[in-house]
Amino acid sequence: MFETDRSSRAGYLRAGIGLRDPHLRRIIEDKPDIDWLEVIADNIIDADEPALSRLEKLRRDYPLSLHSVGTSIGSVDPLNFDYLKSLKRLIERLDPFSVSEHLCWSGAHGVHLHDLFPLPMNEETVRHVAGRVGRIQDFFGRQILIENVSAYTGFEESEMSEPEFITQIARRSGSGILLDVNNIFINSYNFGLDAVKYVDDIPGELVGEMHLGGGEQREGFILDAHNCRIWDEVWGLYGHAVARFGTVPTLIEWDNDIPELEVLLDEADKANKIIESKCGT
Amino acid sequence: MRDLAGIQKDFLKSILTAENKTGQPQPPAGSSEAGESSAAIYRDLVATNHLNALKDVYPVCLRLLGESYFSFLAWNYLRDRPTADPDLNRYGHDFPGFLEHEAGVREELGRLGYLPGVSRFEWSLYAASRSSADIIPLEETISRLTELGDKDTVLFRLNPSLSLMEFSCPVVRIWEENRLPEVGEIVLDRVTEKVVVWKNMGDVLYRTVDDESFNLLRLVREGAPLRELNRIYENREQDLERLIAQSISSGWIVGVKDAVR
Repeated sequence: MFETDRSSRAGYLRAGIGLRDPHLRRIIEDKPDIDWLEVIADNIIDADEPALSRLEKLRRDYPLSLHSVGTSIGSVDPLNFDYLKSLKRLIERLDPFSVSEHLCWSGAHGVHLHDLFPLPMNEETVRHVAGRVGRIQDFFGRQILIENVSAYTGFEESEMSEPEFITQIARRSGSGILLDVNNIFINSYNFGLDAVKYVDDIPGELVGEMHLGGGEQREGFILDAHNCRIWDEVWGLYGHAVARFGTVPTLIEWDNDIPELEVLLDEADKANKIIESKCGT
Repeated sequence: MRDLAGIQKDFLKSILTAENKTGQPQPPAGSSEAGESSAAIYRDLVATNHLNALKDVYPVCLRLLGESYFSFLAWNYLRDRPTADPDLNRYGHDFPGFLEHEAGVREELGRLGYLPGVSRFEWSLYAASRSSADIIPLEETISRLTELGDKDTVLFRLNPSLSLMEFSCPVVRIWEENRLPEVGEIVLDRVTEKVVVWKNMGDVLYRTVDDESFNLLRLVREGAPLRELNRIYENREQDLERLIAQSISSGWIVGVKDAVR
């Protein structure tokens, strides 16, 4: 069984930012003061040798996390081992402190739609997904973190709450949890749930990383848009999560309409101040 | 109660079939109307994501077709030819084939006979830009070739990023002009345009080439050994040695080996 890495390599990390193309040169040249960087595996899965070498060099200055979007963990289709082999190559090369994927599905029955679709939360899905997460971890030879996703629909087949769903999968598979605080806020808004109770229902020892991002309102929903500053309500919920879970590596996500690097560093600074105020570190 | 496979099947149907009214996901609590609305949100997210991926790869096709019609075709392409590939970076590889098919059934596209060619050219440029194959340095190829001499069994290796295309209209000219703010006049005369696209030292390059160069690269791609190349070029005007030297210095041929060993 793998264990959530909270004490060895990741335990001292606070806020990090996503490594995105517009900031790459500045980060390499200026080496801004940031605890860690997230790399989206799917962006570099076919990267050429110079690009991978650059990342390896960057790895000497910053701990990296490797986050993927294409595994489709909850799909009823067989796991795509060509894709997983590519991820494994990146893991071996970049030695990330965390490897994570979304608790969702992106396609089935031979169709992949490159989005993060929610799953019906019931025993059948728990068994199915926990088995697949276990096989992925065995293949990688390490633990992965599974991330709660935002949802704009539910299923009448669901039998349990979302915190119970993700906790059961993590416990049965031996994975950790990447807790996306913004997605908790979004789903609570979209489905009229209690966000604080959601956080309280997650066992702290499973949480290996947290995510924060900006949302966007559309047609009565909040979407996980990653295109703006983090909402005040999400900062509030993050404060509650930090008080409960302690210092956990926290990513500032911003993938669309990417701003100047300073804006991301400013958001990371806010997260660090919350960690300091709650944990004194 | 549906099982997971059934739920996923219905969900995909609700996204890819706008008219579908059965198997809709359950609406959020307190909203009886929201079922279709939530399916519409996913449909919109999926459509936008794939549309943007195509726009990145096919900027000149986008300009030729206009935003609205390009979006219409992009949706039909997604619906009619959904991919199983998890890598969105490879999305759109058969968009040229789709356009070719659509040109045969849509009158308005039939008038843009050069469009499938332009799209093939754009995909080649994109694919070359993403090519990550290690390229053997030029000096190494030359040194290996010198070592092997003119042995009949010598095999050449093409640059893995290289595409060979043949068009019956001035596709490259159309593409070049449509990248500029003001499009100049283009005579749509019937020409045979042979084009090579490749990546060399990190740069994506393209060139229209003569018949002999094109044929040599095609033969090398088909795995013809030097013996066969010598036979084919024996009575031709073009000097095989010169063509091979040009292909190596251009970065089209990037390796050489003895097929017997």
